[in-house]
Amino acid sequence: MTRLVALRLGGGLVTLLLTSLLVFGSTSVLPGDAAEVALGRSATPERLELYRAQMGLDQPPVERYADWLVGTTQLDFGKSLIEGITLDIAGGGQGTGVPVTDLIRPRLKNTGILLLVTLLILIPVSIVIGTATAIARGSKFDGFMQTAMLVFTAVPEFTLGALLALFFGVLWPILPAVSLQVTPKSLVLPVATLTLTAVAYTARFIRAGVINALAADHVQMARMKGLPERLVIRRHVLPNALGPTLQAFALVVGWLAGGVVIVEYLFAYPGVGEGLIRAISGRDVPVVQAYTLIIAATYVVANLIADLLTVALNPRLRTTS
Amino acid sequence: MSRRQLLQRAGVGGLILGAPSWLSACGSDPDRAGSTGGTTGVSGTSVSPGTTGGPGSTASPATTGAPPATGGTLKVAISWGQSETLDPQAVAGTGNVIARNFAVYQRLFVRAPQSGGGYDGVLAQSIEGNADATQYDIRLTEGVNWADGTPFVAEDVVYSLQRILTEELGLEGFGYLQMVDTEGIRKMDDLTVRVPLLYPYADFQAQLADRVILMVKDGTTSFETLNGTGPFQYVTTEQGRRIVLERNENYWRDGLPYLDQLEFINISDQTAAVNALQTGEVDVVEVLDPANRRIVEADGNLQVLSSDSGGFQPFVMDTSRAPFDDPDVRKAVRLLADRQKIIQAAQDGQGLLGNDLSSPFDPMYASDIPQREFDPDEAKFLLDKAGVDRFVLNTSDVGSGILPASLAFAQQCQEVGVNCETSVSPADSYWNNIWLKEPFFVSGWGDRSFASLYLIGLAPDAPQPETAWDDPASHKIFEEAMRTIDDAKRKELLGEVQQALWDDGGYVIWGFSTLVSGARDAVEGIEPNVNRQLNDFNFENVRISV
Repeated sequence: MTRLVALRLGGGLVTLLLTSLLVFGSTSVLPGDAAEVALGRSATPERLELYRAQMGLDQPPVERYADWLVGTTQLDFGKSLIEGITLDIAGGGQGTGVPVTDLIRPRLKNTGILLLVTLLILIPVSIVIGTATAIARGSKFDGFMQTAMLVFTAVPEFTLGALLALFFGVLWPILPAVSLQVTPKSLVLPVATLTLTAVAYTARFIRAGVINALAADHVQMARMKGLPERLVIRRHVLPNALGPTLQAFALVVGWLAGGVVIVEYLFAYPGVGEGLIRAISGRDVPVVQAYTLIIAATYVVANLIADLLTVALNPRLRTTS
Repeated sequence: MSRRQLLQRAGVGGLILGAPSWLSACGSDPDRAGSTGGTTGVSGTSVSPGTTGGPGSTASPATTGAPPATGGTLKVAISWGQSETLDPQAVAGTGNVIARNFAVYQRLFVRAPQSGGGYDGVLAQSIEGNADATQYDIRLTEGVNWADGTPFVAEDVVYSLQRILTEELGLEGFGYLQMVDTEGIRKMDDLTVRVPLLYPYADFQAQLADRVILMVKDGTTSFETLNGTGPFQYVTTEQGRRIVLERNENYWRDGLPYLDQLEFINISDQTAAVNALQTGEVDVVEVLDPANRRIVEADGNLQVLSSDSGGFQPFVMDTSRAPFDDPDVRKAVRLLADRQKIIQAAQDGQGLLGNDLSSPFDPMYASDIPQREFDPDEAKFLLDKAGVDRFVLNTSDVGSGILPASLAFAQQCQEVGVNCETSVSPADSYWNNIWLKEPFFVSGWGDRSFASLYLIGLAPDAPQPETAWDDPASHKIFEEAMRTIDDAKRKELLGEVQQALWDDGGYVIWGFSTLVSGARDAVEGIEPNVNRQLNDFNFENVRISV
């Protein structure tokens, strides 16, 4: 078990390293840099040079990446290239950007809240729907749920979110249409959007898993033993159905960590997604790096947890070491 | 009605109330209040101290039916750029920075809010040039103080101007004050500053009215806490999200501002911003595109704030590069623009028609030059003559209406059989990669005096030589005009320069933008202003009625 965790963690670190290389490489390839964005139309060659010198952008990319990597291993994510900068050579020629950690901390917290609330609702709801539709498969209820969920899968989250904002924010104004601040009320629509988009996926996964498990020999056996159906489902069907479903949840967490970008933009929610969009258009490489690493790390950790849980739920996998 | 300076009230609500609610904040200007449709008068707004006797003298509850309200927080959804620098003299490109700067700091002069008004004094009362326009005496306003309570004096102005002119600081205003003899600026007495110029420049007041020529206190080198003369004090910024300001209790104009707190909020998606306006989460939305304007108009609780402006979004031809180095081609391209239709496509039909000349509100504007009309036959003849059968307009979504205007123009060309293609680039890299680099591209300008635009975009050493305008004769006349203090004489000379630009220049100026914002009905005191959105981002007279 320890070995498995160590192996996976090592693999995760390699993934993160590759991600950071990829992101650094692609932001370097993008036209323009932070100096050009910050100075905009008033950029003169002298000012660009001054800005780049102050922010260390005149160093070769390899050196900048190495600097960043060394800093990151010591948990120093560097300073923003664009936020809080005052161009001032008299100030000693030092970059005066806001530290990346200060910049992303509040947003990270907000997105964390959004994701956590979404998961807390999504997981039980999809287990209930998935199991119920599996047991009642072929019935009118199942047919209705399948169709309804198909609709939500088919509608992209930005359309769904906009529609929800229109109905519950404007036409029947019971909820804020934008989430300028994080309050229980302002969380409702973003969480609903994320949940509705994801629930179809996870519930269908669970439904398939449960149907498979229902047909398994040991379930038939349990029934023939005369166990009540409720106990059969809880003790024999769900644990077996949840195994593959956990992987689906891990994927969903990864998807949420990234897909939250669109929903946050839509509701002006002050989270990681909005910050990432802003950092990318500002060519603010250290900030982009930090955000993407966090998203990638979420993905890695979610998958790791899913794997461990799968092992825990399925005794057959425990014997490998 | 040709020059509508009206602040439109949306829907039936405005009609029932009769008099627009903003009337309450400009009681000193009955002329404008009486004719919402066609005012031309020079307005005495808050910027001249004589008209600001405090809330009691300007409020006119009888006409609005509601008592004037003070206090409260105004939340404004405003355009947001990447730079959020707190240095008021540094680059100011987007609403968040300009509005914050204007709330905390002030200029010596501002351009009048209405056409033909010239300049209004804020921190200065008057400016007087010598006979050959090489030296100016600026008389400062009495009784002004900084937020920390200390008086605003000549030393502050000397310091501020010299700071802007310190090249190493890389401040935006450096280019605008390039004619100033930095070392020579000096204090004459506590309220008089003398500014000598390196060469004659008769339009100097316009330079002082630029958005980045803001006054900071003598000796200021850091901008962590801001000490300005403006109506609000800076509290905090949440990067990329929100700026919070509060009432400056020491503000030098008695009784102002009315608001306790002012917040600027970044809502990148305009639809979300309008949703927030409808649900009351924000009180004002700075920019509305035509679709959202209709939504706001249709909502009985909201008002559309609209004002003509001299801002323009030209198609720019580089006169030094083929095929636009041929004057015939430039003329042809300008004849191909069906301006009314472009305005329809880009601005929903709102805004003044363009005649390929900038600055329609400048007293120096050559209004006697005839309007250029759509003439595809002549255009095709000229293009054939020049042997040009194809050109590409490089465009991007870098300003409201620019993309639809570009597409409408290309379509007009194609309809008459001229092969004009559009190449659309991403907005975030447009200014660095396309602008000034391609031979035919789009641009965007705020309202400026003709001379100041000439200095930035057309003069021999212009920092933004969009059209690569290289006409020694025009440059010479311009220099002569800048030596000419006499307004009528100068107008004649600048008229000649404008004629040359109209004949041979590289700008296709098809129209002037209308500034369209939205607000809740309860928001009062945001008057039309040709310079910028939301009364040139002036919130000192704004209040929220209950």
